[in-house]
Amino acid sequence: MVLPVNTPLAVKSKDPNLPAARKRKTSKLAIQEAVWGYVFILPVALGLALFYMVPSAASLILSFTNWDGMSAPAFNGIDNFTQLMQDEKFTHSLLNTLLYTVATVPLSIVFATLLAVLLNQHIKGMVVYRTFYFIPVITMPIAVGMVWKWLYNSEFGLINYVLGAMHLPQPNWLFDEKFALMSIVIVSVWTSVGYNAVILLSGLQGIPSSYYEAASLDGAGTVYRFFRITLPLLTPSLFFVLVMSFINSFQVFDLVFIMMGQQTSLLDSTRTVVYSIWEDGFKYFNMGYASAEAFILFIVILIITAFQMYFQKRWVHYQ
Amino acid sequence: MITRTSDRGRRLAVHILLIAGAVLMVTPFVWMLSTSFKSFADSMKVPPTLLPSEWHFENYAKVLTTIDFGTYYLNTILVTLGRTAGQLLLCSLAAYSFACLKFPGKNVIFLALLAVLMVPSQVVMIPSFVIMRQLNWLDTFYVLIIPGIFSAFGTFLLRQFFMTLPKDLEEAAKIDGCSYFRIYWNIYLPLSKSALVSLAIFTILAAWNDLLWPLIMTSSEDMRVLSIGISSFQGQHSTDYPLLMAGAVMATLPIIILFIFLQRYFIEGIAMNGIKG
Amino acid sequence: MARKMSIILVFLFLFTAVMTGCGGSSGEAGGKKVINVALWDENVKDTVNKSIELYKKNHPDVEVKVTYTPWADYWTKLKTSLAGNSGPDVFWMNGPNFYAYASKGWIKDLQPLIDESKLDTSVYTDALVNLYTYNDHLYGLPYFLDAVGLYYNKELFDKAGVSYPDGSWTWDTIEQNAAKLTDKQNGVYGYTALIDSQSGYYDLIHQAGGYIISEDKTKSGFDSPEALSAFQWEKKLMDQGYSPNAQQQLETKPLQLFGSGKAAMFPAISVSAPELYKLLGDKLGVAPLPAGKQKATIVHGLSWAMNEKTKHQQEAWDLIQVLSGKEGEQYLAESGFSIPAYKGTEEGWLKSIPSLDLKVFVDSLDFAVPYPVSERTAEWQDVETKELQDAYLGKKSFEEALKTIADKMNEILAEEKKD
Repeated sequence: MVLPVNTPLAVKSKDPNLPAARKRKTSKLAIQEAVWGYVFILPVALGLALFYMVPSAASLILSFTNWDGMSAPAFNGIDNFTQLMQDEKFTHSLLNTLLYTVATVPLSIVFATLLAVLLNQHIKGMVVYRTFYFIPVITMPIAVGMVWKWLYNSEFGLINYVLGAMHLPQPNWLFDEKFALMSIVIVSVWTSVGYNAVILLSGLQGIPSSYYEAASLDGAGTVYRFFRITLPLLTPSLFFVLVMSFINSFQVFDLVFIMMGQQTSLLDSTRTVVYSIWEDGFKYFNMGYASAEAFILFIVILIITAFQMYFQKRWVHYQ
Repeated sequence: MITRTSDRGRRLAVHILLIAGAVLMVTPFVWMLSTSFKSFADSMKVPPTLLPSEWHFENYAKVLTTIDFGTYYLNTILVTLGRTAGQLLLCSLAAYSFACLKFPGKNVIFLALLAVLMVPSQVVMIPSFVIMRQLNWLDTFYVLIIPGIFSAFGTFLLRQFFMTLPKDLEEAAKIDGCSYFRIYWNIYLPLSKSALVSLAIFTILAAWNDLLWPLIMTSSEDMRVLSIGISSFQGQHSTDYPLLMAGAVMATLPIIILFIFLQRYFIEGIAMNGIKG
Repeated sequence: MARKMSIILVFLFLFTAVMTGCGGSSGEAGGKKVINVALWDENVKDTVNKSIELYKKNHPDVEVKVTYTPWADYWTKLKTSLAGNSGPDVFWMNGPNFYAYASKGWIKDLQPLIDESKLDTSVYTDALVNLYTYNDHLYGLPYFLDAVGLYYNKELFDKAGVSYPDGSWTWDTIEQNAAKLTDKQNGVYGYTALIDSQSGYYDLIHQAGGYIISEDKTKSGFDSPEALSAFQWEKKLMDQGYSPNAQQQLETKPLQLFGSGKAAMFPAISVSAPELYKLLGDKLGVAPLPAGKQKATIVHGLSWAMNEKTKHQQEAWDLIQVLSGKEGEQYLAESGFSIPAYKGTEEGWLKSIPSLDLKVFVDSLDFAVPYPVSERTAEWQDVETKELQDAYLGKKSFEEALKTIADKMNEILAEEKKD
């Protein structure tokens, strides 16, 4: 007997006619499913294991050594870690990174969401708009750095010019400890908005237009549609953007390097963990110590991601 | 009922917002473009001017003769294609499995794969180099392409998308006796065009602009990729900004064109109405 | 079902085939020896190629591969490849990194090779031989050098009616003339009191009679009154508006200011000559740095180092000798790239910009001071830059900053001695 296509599973399993046969089939099916499950992930898992996990494991081992990057590593137990706990430069960089992340991620996601919705309209010229918003993502970092440094310039910069015209305070963006980190956050949000918007845009494509049609027939307004239909159905993509944004923000380096570069006097308020890692590993020949820093960063990111994965049940709506 | 005037008003508001933002977004690129036409002296002027005082179109030709642009372009295209094709194939397969199949330890394995994204590249540089050396892959296309086809990012992105597709599709197919592979290949993949295209865009972008990995892993002139070629204009003491920007513009243009072209596949409604009864 | 399995198997097979892959050809095919050379400035390409042609005449069976890595990532790549046992045989070495590489044994001690080949190293500029000597042995064969000179804008001098700088100028002369040359209305500065070290305060400290690091590398010279006087002099000029201040120099590169005609005088290294000439043309002039209590100019330069783990020591050594040999250095000079380290071969370089008196740089070698380095240069230089920037920006006094630098530097130097 062939059941209709959309008979819910619950009904099928309660069919009195085939209880025992179904139980056997189920366990055999479950094993088959599991085997295929493993087979399909095998290539990616193997590749990631060989090319990423093995080097990471090596780095982990190196974090227990005193290594200058070239001579033979010398095992020094947990010395690196105990030193790290007392290393002000490191704890400060951890704090900076945390502040940076907490500022960048929400801003970037909120703007990206609004942008994605705006870019999803069927309005003339949308292709051009979408391209323009994506351009910061592909613009060469050196060009980004130069233009923004000019925008922030205290003498000729456009930002302070506009602020001055509006009689607002004109902060010394790149030279005041209080504002240095903020200036980097702004550039970071500017760069990532287009990137995240593309991801959210593709997520918006997965929302059937029938929902919107039904809602507007019922007289629902734009805001209602956004909060009751768009957002909930966008949560899988939002979850992705959230997790990736955290992972990437915690590892920010290039932007700091370009914007702050030689301004070592302000590095203390903008040094991030990865900057510290690069400094210790490649500048000061302290690769073992740098590996220890990386390990601590890894644990922090792992815990946060694990938390996010655990809580996804509460707010992410999959079909 | 929506009146025509408020509809037009809404459109106007959207346009204004988008234009304002777009101007801000595009400014560095415009500056890049303008610098590429300046003379060296013009590019170093203080305070800087937006437009060149004289237009030096020959900067673009100079870039082509100064560095082996053609070879770098070819290499970069090859590497990008290889990495993108590989990722689309392998990551979608894995993503399907994580999204739809049940197997013990699934979530732990998934988290473990994500974990590779959490290790900063600086500390794995040397161990990775050693591995590549052992495999004899240094200075070849293998080192540029193969590690790049395995991506936790890509797997994660597609898994999220696959999880939004209705389970009924799968159930229907299973009843019809479809194998898991067929379900993946014939049902899930075709429905995920926009996610696949966005993954393609990101992979292409990452491969195209990748600098540090190719720089460390290759040495021969004929294995160079665009990003290295362009950064060679940045000297220790002085940088030839006009040439650098001209090179960067030439390198970025294909990506922009590709992005415009791909938008067609990216933005489409999915006809799912029939299935949701 | 079988079909599905077979597809999977084919898939896995291809996958493994690719993985074990016929790896790329690494170097030594058919008994030919390969020497890998690494450096960072492509402007020197022609010179290096010519030298290699010369080398090949006596070594037809050796293949020389040259890799240019952009400056920003040169050291990262070098360290990674050396750490991974696949580093270049011959490569460029600079002052700040030299000590670390030599003391850790990553580059070869060239002294035994020099003695064996009976190479006379006195033909190389003393300051460079000094810079690349470790434990009385030479570890890098000097290639080219740069010295610091005072560039000036002839047009601005003519407008202000000031005669051009020359060897008689002192700090006071600079001050007097900077006042005359400064045109606040048009945003023109008379002088640039650099916050940069190599062309700025390192030279000034030595001119005042002080030093950065003691000869035996145990003591910092930053907390001396001479050092303080250098910074106070600069501060005076900045406060009076004769020189752009620290923030301005951080926001806009001084070279750009000078190149745009916004500064009349600009101390900088010889390597900047071509670039400045492109910006100012015949308006560009150069003079020796002014004297404080004495004349002094910081001299830095690059050398060729050999990988400690090279498999072709003799061939690599021969190549280094050719690159830094008389002909090789002449090629370098003719290309106008920089001042060759081989005494007497400078002529080509001197002629490279006819309107500019490049001889100033070569003459200044008479009072040259080698660029200050120690094993952990990067560490104390970072402290130095941070503290001094804070002082320049007015966040703390120079006395305080200099004391902090000296204390930290002495600490680091003491630790170096222990290792």
